[in-house]
Amino acid sequence: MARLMLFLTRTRGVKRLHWTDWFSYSYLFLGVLLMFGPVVWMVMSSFKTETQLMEFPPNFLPYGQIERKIEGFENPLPLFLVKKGDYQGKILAQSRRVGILSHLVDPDDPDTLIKINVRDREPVKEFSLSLDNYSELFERFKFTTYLWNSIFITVVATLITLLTCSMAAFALSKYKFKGKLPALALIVGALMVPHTVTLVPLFLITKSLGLFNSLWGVILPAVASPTGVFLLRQYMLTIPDEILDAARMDKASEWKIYWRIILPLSMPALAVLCILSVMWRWNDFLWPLIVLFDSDKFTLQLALNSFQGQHDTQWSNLLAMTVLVLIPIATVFSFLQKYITTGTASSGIK
Amino acid sequence: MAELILKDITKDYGDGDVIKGINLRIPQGEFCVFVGPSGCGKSTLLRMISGLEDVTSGAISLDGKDITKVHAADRGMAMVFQSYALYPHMRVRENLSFALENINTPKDEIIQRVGAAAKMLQIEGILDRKPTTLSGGQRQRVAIGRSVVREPKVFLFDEPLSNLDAELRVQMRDEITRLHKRIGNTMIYVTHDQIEAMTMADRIVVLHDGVIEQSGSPLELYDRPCNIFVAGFIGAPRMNFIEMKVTDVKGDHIHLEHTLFQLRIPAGKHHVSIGQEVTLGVRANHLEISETDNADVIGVIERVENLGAESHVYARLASGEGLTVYKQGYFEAGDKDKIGVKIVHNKLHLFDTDSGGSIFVA
Amino acid sequence: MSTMSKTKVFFLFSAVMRLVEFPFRLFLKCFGMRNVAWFFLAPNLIFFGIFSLLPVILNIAYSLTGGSEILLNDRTYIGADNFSDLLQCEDYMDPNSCKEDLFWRSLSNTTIFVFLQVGMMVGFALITALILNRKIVARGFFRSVFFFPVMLSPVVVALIWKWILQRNGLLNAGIEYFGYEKILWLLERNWAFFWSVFVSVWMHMGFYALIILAGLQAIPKDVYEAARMDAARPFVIFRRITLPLLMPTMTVVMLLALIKGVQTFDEVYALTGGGPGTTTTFIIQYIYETGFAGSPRLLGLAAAVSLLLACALIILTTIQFIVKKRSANG
Repeated sequence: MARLMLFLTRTRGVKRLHWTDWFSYSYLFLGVLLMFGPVVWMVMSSFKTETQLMEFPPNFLPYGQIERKIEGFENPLPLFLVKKGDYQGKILAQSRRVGILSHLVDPDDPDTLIKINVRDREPVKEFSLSLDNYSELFERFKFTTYLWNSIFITVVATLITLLTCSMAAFALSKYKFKGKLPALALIVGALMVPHTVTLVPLFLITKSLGLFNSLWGVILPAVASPTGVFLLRQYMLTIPDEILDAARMDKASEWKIYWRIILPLSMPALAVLCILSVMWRWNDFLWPLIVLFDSDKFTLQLALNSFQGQHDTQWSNLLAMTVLVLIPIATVFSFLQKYITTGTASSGIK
Repeated sequence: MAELILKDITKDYGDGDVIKGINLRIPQGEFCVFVGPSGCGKSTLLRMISGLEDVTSGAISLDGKDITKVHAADRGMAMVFQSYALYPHMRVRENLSFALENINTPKDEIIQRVGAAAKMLQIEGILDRKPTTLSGGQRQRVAIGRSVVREPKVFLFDEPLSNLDAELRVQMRDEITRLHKRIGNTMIYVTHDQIEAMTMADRIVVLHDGVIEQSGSPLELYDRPCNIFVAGFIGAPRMNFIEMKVTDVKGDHIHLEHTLFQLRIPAGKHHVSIGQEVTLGVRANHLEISETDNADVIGVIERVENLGAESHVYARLASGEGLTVYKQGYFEAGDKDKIGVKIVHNKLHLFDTDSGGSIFVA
Repeated sequence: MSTMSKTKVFFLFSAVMRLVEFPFRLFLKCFGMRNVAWFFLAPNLIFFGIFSLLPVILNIAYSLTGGSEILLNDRTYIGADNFSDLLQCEDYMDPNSCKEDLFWRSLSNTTIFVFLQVGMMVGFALITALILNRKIVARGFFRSVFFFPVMLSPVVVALIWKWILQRNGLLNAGIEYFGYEKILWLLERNWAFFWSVFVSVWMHMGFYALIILAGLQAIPKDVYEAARMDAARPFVIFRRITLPLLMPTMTVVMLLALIKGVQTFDEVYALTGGGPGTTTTFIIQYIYETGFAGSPRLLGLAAAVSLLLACALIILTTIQFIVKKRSANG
């Protein structure tokens, strides 16, 4: 313990902890609580049954009442601990409840009926993860459809984005040609006018292209991401032109230079754009909300949002679904967090 | 025969010519070095020969065929770049074979040619490594190997040694020279380092401001520079220049006058006239340190570089010109000491001050 | 990924890429080597033209039309009526006196929201970055802790907090434990507004902290060492060295936050739906509801508001570029 303290307080070199260090660590631990707490709370809640969710005050861990199959009864019966009277300290199963009277049976002696005031017994609980919320998603809701829609949009859009943006970035970073400056200016201009302010005409164009209520209507409008072009171009500018010249001397066509030399060498920037694009598409909300109105075409985000209205916020399934939506991004992040944070810090794009 | 001929080559990037009409004939098997200060157009000229840069006007022909409009990869040339330009994401083996794959060479032949090149350059042990894991010298070898496998008619080198440290540079210089002796192909080598030029070249082409100042063998350029620029560029330490005036041309002697001293030099053939402003050029090793009494000129020592085997003495004349004097062995002197300098009369150059052209070589 | 599947992926990739060689050759034959760049630009430019450039032009056209038809041809030209409707107010301080009262209300909501959100966010981001820039244990971990909500979907974030803020949620359990009455956090005006600011800060703060942190780390170490040699106390170093050198980054962060803040929609819409009433209805939601969710669809009006918003954004972004450029040069 002393060693641990020594380790933890070794931060400012020779000196012991300064008050600023105490402040820093308090802030950080409070931060962990505030940032992680809500997510953990939700994940925990998603494993609770409908009744547990109604409980107030809520428990942190999902505790379920134990039920036992008793001879002579069709359904499993909930177990109760008797707090008062002759049977004090005994665990009995409740067969039914009549008003304030609870009809209990001893699991070892199912024929004798014991009647007790409901206030004199309390449920026996144990830690149990209820997966019902999750399985119901697949049984009762079109979860797989939403999932497929989301995956389809994310994967296809990301692939097209990477291809078109890297090609454009290659042209804008490695060639001199007439019209390069206007093209660059257009892209910088587009950075200023996000899609949120051109919703109306975008809606019209999507509709007249017949992409309304289609997944392609969500995919195509944003594949020419100016952010992506900009990001890749800045990176490609750092690739020495001599390598391209060498490849030209080696009789590689310009197309081959693009895919054999430029693409592999731009991997770090492509990876950043790939992660960004996956994140944008997976989390996209406003545009799908406008384009997709048929629930068969809903993405997970839309489904999540519509759940809370349609079913008067049916929390049990909603929580499970939220967790499932969160998992892919959380996984990507936990594996690549160092990469993502440094990438974001250097590009200044989210 | 792979003879390369450049005819009236110019290059204009849109704001005036950078290459102003180059005419040059490089015979088969020659090791030709383009040398000049940075910005003289030597790299541009090389890139035009390679085909990576368009020619604004003029023609390039190889083997009697006009290749001015031929694509870089189809000219039968290979290039070694200043930064080596190895493909960082490919192994050494793939770096070597990339060009061969692009011309659809059969697999066995690729293996055989890569193997041969690797053996010749002693890089067999690193064929499966990525360029980033290699040392400077190894990268240099791979870069050369990449051009060797293509079996080009002409090798082009663009300042290939400038990224190496001094010791390695000497070593690679030697290796490239030996490579040339061994395969005997035409090689064109660009550098700003005149020592590289002197040691490696069959022929040096001195470029300055987009024109050829002089072309010839290293010693020709050293002994008979055709103008002040070449005289100053070739040879280290730099040639000393003193502006003088011709006072008299009598029989077989030329009389020169300077505010501090006079000089009477024996002249054979010359194009000197009385009253002409001339620049006297004399190399540091053709100056001798002497007693101040019988010296041609007296200067004040500014600094001495004792290199061990030799010493370079930097002196300044009262009229402002600097003089560098070469001396074998050590030279001990304090700052501000006076020093007498004697000029070896049969190793002199005279240049016309206005045009810079050589008018007399002793 | 195993080497086996890696080579397979590469094989597939190169096979696809080799196929493009043919159209590429055809392109060169038709347009020549001089125009090779356009081959690479074309796909992006086509999408860009259809989905980014054209909308900007059409948006201007739409903003000058009225009616509820969708196609531009069917719509009636009404000149600047949409704009004059938007600006028609008896008292600009009182949204109720305006013809488009909802627009003015969402505008004032957005203004207050952005003011609070940017202030809180940049403040916390600065503190966080300063702390993360110290010599602390497990810096990478803490950095990720603050950053990860940036990656989450706005809807997920909204639901996470909605679950905590609901009637029988964790927060109410907490305050009841301390003997207070339950509060309907998202149904009381001020609380709902507070939570939409809070949740939005919670979600985005890590991003700005990261950028400020990068700015802090870009300050050369020797400047600090020089300051320490000059016997400056830590607070003086912070005030006289860190802050001035960080100023360009802070300005960029602030403008970036402002630009994003003005466009806030997703997380707040999913959290409060704009309510209670119109308390948390912001400008993008106004556009969405006027143009798409409402009936009849007032596309012209929505386009007009979009145009005004775009102008504001362009001004903000231009300032940001200028600041960025100046700090890069200076």
